[in-house]
Amino acid sequence: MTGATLDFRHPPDGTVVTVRGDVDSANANALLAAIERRLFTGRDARAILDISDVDYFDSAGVNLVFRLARRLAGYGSELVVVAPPTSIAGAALRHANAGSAVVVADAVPAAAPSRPAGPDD
Amino acid sequence: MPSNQIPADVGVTGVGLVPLPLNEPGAGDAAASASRADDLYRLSDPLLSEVGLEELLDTVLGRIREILHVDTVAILLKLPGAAELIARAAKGLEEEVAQKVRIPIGRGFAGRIAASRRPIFVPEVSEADVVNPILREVGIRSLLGVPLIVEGELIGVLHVGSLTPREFTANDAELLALAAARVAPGIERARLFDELGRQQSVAESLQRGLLPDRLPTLPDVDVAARYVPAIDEVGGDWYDVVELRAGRVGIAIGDVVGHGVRAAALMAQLRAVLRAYAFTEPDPATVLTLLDKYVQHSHPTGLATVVYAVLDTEDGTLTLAVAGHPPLLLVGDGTAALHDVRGGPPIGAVPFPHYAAHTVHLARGETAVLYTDGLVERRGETIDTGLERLRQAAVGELDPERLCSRLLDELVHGTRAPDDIALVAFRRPRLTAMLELRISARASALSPVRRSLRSWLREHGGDRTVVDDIILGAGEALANAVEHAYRSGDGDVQLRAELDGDTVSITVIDHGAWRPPRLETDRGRGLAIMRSTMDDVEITREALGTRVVLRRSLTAP
Repeated sequence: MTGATLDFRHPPDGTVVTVRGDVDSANANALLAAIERRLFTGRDARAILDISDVDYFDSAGVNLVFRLARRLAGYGSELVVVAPPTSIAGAALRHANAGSAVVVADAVPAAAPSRPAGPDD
Repeated sequence: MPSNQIPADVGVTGVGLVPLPLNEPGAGDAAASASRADDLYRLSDPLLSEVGLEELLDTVLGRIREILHVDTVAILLKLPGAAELIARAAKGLEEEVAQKVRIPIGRGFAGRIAASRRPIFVPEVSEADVVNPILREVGIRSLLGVPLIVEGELIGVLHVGSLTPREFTANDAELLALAAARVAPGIERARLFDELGRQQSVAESLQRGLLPDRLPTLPDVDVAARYVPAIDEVGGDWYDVVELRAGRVGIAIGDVVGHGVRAAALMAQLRAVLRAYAFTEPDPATVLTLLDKYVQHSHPTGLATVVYAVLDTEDGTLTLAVAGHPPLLLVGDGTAALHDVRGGPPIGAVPFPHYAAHTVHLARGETAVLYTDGLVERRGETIDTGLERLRQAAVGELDPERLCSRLLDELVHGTRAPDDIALVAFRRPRLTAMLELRISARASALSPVRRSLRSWLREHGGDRTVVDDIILGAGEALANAVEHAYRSGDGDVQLRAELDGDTVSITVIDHGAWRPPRLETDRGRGLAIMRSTMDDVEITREALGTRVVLRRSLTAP
C-alpha cells in the first residue's frame, strides 16, 4: 500500500489540506475530486494545500494544483500552495515552471497555524 | 435380556401406543437363527468402528432397513445441553434430516422414547402420537423405536417405520434394540471425534485465514515466511508484512501465550491492531506501546511476545522494537549472528512498559530472520542451546525462501512440533550493474518501479536531491509510456538503467502509439519536466512504439 493520504483541518479563516505519500497519475484525479468535495461544501475564503511532505509529485500533481486553483478562483477563493523549493513538490513545481501561475509558500501561513507535526514528519 | 422385555406401562398415554406383543422367539428354527446370527453380525461388523460418523450412520441405517424389511429408518441424536432431539440421518425420511427437524424430549413418538428410555411400538400412526409432520406426510402407518444409550446416558433414538400397517414382533424389537446397543457407542465415538475435528479445523482455518495468503510483492526486498501449526492444538503465532510509505516495509512477528481458539482469536486482533498502528506510527517502539495499551484495556489477561521492525529498503536501516521476544537473527556471507537488543516486557505483562527502538544496518545481500520460540525450544534444554542450533543452521544460506526451508528442516525435521512456529526472512537483494524492469501498463505499477529505481540510484552514490530530480524525470517518462501502452492495449513497459562513469542513462520503452503532447496539458508539462530535470532527453518514435532515453550526471547538481 503506497498511494497518498489526505488530511483536512479547518482554522477560522479557511481550510488546510495536507497531502502525504505519492501523488502521480494513479491517484491525482481521485485526490482532486476528494479535495473539491470537501472545499466546496465549506465555501472557504482561502484554501491552503500543504504538499511540503509528499514523497513523490509529478506533472499529474502539478496539474491537480492548477485545476484546483482555477476552480477556487471561479468561486472567488484563493489557493495557497505550501511547498518549499527544496521539497519534492517544490522541485516539481519549479521544473514545471508553475511558480508564476500559483501562489507558492514555504510554510503554512501564520493565520492558519500548521497542524501539529504528524508522526511521519 | 431386559431390553426386549417391553413392559406394559411404556410411560406414554397416547392413543394407539401399545406395548409390543411378546412372541416366543422361534427357538427351534435353525434357519431363522442362522439368518438372525448373520443379521447381528452385519450390525456389529468390526469394520464399522473404523469409519467416520456419516459413513457409519449411512451403513447401519441401510443394513437395518434390509434386515427388518422396513420402509423408513431414522436416527435422531440428543443435542448436547438441550432437551431436544435432532434428525441426524435417515433412509426413506431424508426430508426429516434435510429440514433438521427438532423434537422436544418427552413429546411425540421419538421424544417419548427418549424420555422413557424404552422401546415404543405404534401399530397405527395418528396425529395424537406423532408430532413430526414429516412422518405423517410420508405416509408411515406403523412405527417402532428404541433409545440409543451409551454408558447410561441417552444419546438418541433409532426408529423404523412401515408404509403399510405392520405388527412389529418382539423379535423385530429385540433386533432393533441390539442394533441400537451395537451402534450407539460407535455413533458417540464418531460424533465426539467429528466435533473435535471440527473444532480443531475451525481453529486451524481461523488461524490460516488470519495469516497473509501471500506476501506482498515489494520493490527492493525479498521476503519469505512460514507458518507451521502445532501437532495437536491451534496456537497463537503470527507474522505480517506491510508496505508503508516511502520505501519502508513493516515486518511483525508475534506469539500469543496460550493455545486454542482463544489464543488464535487474540492473535487475530493483535495482528489487526498492530497493522493499523503501523500505517500511522513510523516508530516501532510507539507501535508496541500502543499495542500494549490495547491489550491492557481490552484483554487484561492477554499476553504476547512481539517484534515489530521497519526496514528502510533504500538505505538498509532496520529499526526494531522488541516485547519479550527471541532475538533477531542476521545472516551474512558465511556468518550468522543473533542480535539481542534490550527489549521491553511482553505485551500485556506489566503496567506502563517501556519499549525502545533499536537500529541495525541490513546490508544488501544480508538476510534478517524473525521467528517464534517454537522454532528453537526443546523440552529439557535451555533456550541458549536452541538459539545456537538456529544460528549454526543458518550459516551459508542467504536466500530467504531456502533459508526458511532449511531452518524448518534442520530444527524441526519437517514434523509438526508441540508448539506452533512462525518464521519470516527478508533481505535487500544485491545490486546489479544494470537495472532492468518490466511492468504492466497500469498507473498503479508506477510507484513500485520508481521505488526500485530510487534505491538503485541511491546505492550507486546518487545524492538525494539529484536522485529526486532523476526520479521525477524518469517518473514522467514511465507515466507517458504506461499511458501509451495502456491506450493501445499493448501490455508492458520496459525500464533499463545503466551507469557509464558518472552518467546514468535510463531507457523507457513502450509498444503503444506515440501521441504528440500538447503544451499546457499533463503530458506537455511532463515533457517539460523531463527536459528540465535531465541533461539530455532523446525520444525515438518507432513503428512499434516509443523509446525515451534520459541521461543525467549523478553528481553534478
